[in-house]
Amino acid sequence: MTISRDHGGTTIGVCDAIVVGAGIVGASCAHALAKAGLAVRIVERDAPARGTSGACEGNLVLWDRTSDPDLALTRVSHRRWAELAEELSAGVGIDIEYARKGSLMVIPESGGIDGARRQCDWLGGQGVRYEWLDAAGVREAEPWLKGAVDGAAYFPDDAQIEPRLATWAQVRAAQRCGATLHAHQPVLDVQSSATGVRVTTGLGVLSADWLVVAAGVWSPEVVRSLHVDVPVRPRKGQIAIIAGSPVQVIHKVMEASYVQTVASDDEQLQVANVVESTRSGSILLGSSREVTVPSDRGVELSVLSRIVARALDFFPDLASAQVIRSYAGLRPMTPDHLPLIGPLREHPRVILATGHEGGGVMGAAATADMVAALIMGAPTPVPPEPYLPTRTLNPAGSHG
Amino acid sequence: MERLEHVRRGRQITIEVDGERVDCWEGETVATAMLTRHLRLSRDASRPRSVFCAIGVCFECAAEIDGTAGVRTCMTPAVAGMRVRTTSGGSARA
Amino acid sequence: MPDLLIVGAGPAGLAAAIQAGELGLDTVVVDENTTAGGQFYRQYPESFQEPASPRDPQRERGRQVISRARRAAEFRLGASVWGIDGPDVWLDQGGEPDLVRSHCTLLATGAHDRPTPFPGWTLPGVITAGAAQTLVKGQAVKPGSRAVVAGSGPFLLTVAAHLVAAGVRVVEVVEAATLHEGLRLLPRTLPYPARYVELSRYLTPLLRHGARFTRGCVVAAAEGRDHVERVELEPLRGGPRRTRSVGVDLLCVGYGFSAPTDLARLAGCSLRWDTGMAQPVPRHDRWQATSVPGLLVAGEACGLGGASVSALEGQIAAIGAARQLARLSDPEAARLARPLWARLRRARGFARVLTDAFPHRLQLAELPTDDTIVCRCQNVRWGTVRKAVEEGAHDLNEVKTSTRCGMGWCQGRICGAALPDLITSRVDPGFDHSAVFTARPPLRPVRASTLARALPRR
Repeated sequence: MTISRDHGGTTIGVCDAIVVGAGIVGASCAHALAKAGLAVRIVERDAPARGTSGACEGNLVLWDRTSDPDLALTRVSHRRWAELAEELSAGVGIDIEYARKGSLMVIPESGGIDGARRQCDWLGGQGVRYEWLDAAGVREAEPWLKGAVDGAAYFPDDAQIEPRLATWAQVRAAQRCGATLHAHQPVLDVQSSATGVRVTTGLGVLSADWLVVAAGVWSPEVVRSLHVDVPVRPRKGQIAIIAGSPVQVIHKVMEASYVQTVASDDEQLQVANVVESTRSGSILLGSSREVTVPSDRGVELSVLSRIVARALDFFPDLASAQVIRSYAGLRPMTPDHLPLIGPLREHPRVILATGHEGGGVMGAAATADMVAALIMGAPTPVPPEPYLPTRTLNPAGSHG
Repeated sequence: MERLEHVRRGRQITIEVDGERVDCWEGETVATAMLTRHLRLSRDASRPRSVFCAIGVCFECAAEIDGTAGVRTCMTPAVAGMRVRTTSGGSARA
Repeated sequence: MPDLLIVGAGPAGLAAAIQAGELGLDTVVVDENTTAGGQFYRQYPESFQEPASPRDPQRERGRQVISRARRAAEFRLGASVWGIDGPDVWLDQGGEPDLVRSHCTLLATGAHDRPTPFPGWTLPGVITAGAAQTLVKGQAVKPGSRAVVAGSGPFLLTVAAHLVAAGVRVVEVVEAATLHEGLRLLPRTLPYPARYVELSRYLTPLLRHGARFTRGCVVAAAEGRDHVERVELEPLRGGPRRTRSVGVDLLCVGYGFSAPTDLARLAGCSLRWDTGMAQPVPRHDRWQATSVPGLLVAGEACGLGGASVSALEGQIAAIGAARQLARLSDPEAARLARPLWARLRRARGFARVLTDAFPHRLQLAELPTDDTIVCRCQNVRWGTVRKAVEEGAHDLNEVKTSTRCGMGWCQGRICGAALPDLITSRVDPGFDHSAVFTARPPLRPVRASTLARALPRR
């Protein structure tokens, strides 16, 4: 393959790696690569954390994973985030609000205990720590959770970060290692060869040895000029924000059926309860999932209504609290619910790092290490095969 | 802030503000009831604030009314027995 | 299903309701206030009784307009609109969710005082000019005892006159426009003699009262411990920094108006720049129709004009709605609208004179110091925002992400209106001046129980 077309743009830079996308995944990749000594340029069509990473909960949760490779990557990432929180705080002075608050997978009285037990058996077999709580145990752990529940599994290691701060911290850390951020620069064209890439933006042409595409649901658009199929589709998730409530939500509280909505291939709207507090005093209510198009970031009132109604089933005291904001994020979904990490078949210098769906914050740290290892030819943190874009993509992965 | 005496008001009613009984008249807003009694109207106890726009835009006068935080006292007519708290139990930040 | 839903019961909404009634449209009017009239026709609550004398002619006129409108349409007062989705408008009426689906929706949401941060503007006793008017005219309270009224435009005189009538000692009216600017435009006001009568109605009591009039000055700061105790006046431009201190317990400020556009933006309306308001407002055609089918806009929600412009636009919008609904043929609608368009041209002409006489002033952006709070909800100071922009924030939404500015209870209505001027004139002239916070539902805080009971459509 040769670089055949000249786009009239002047070459404005030559570097080792271009990372497209300054969400949590791209920012993390940029940091990892820059730290490994590469000259990195970050190209972002908007600004850091303005896409999906700015419209999510910042979950570092293990129990909602749906397959062995999914869990393997997640567990590495989980450990890495704890280290990164300290590293970023010391390095760039940004507190990413890492909180190992634990999560409760709550089983409503209306059912779901069998599925929840199966999930826990699998997780336990993989070495994930958890503890069963009966209804009384749930009350004790989460006194404001007053809805009728059969019990819950408590995952003490689950944590949360503030995703916008974490994204910015990773960008700043990359910059400290010499990376450059080109914000508000959509990618106009990508050309690749066996030895490198050329990326055209409004600023001109950047050439590099490697291109990392971490543009979430917009990744297919970024590599459109390469005529490759990136099997990522947007799955919209909405979140409602409550302010000024006296209700205390101690853990991340998630309805057990959340895992089914994640694993589901149903494109229709699904709603499962997710409730958590943030350090700023607000309470986040989730979650919904439905397949949509990359331009659809609108909040739908009917969905918002269902999310809030479901949260009140569990936390009835929130009824008098006020919902003050809402947002929607587009999670990049793949057919087998595993991320795409690795080179494209026909374009060995173009590395994908996307497709984490709702686990992008969770998976970003390990994904970044994986991308750095693939580029540097170093050992990867987990075997890369299950995540390679060249894999056979079967719909719906399943564990066991 | 004082009431203009030449305007006849509705029935006298009583609301409760931070545990204190406050008399006012039907038709008055919660903000009027509080300000004419020279009660503080800050969402945040550490900062003196009061009514700013009086038409529901700025939320400076927001208080917890009958258990709901962030309610604009300037837009809310006082109703007998209403319970108002000027600093909510939760954080006023959002 | 009503033909027309009117959001806002001020001069534009009321005129639209009356006209819609005459055209036989099934009309619903909603307003967040518990009394109709908006700011211009502000009324006492129903349980109040106005004294027999002196009668306020404007209140009287308002009462007549309201009662005509109430005969022409169904009114839902005390109902906040928190969402719009095509023909569906979501309401919160005292905690009860309601969904109104109508063939046409008219946004007649009006405007409020333009938020203008300066040191001390968060002190109790510093209120907007509109607030002073609301408290006196709507609640019959005296908001202070010794006041300065400052800002720009004829509205200051109206407010000062209301305060005087309520027994407040108005020591000074401080107008930012210079005498020279006013005199230069005098010839352009001559074709509008009725406006002089209006002016004298406010000016006469103020002169009799002995209020001092200062022109070309602004309040540079308000000071006091827990309440405003004095204001520092300063010439707006040029010369050495001379300040003069005036002792007060009330400062009413109004530097022109700003129109909330959240509802229009959530509905997807395209916007245009309005010079009078110095902000983007919904674009509309001569029938007051926006770029969104079925959605119309009238009054100050779509640009500075005053009550007469608003009422005419409201009337035209009702005709426009009837035309969209095929209740009027094009020629019939045009026949009805033609005289209104002519009057509108004249009324807009006067509004332009006022805009030129009391222009929006970027110099006001020089007032805040780094320490001045710009986001009143989250207590974000100007210095923090300045730093965020210097570090690369390109628009208001980025400023919001990095500073929490605009994330509080008012949902960015105050800081969102104030920041573009501050940022463009003090930090980054290239900053997107027309950018606004993204509008997302709920547009007003809504109780979770209310939201939960809002009926899902699917």
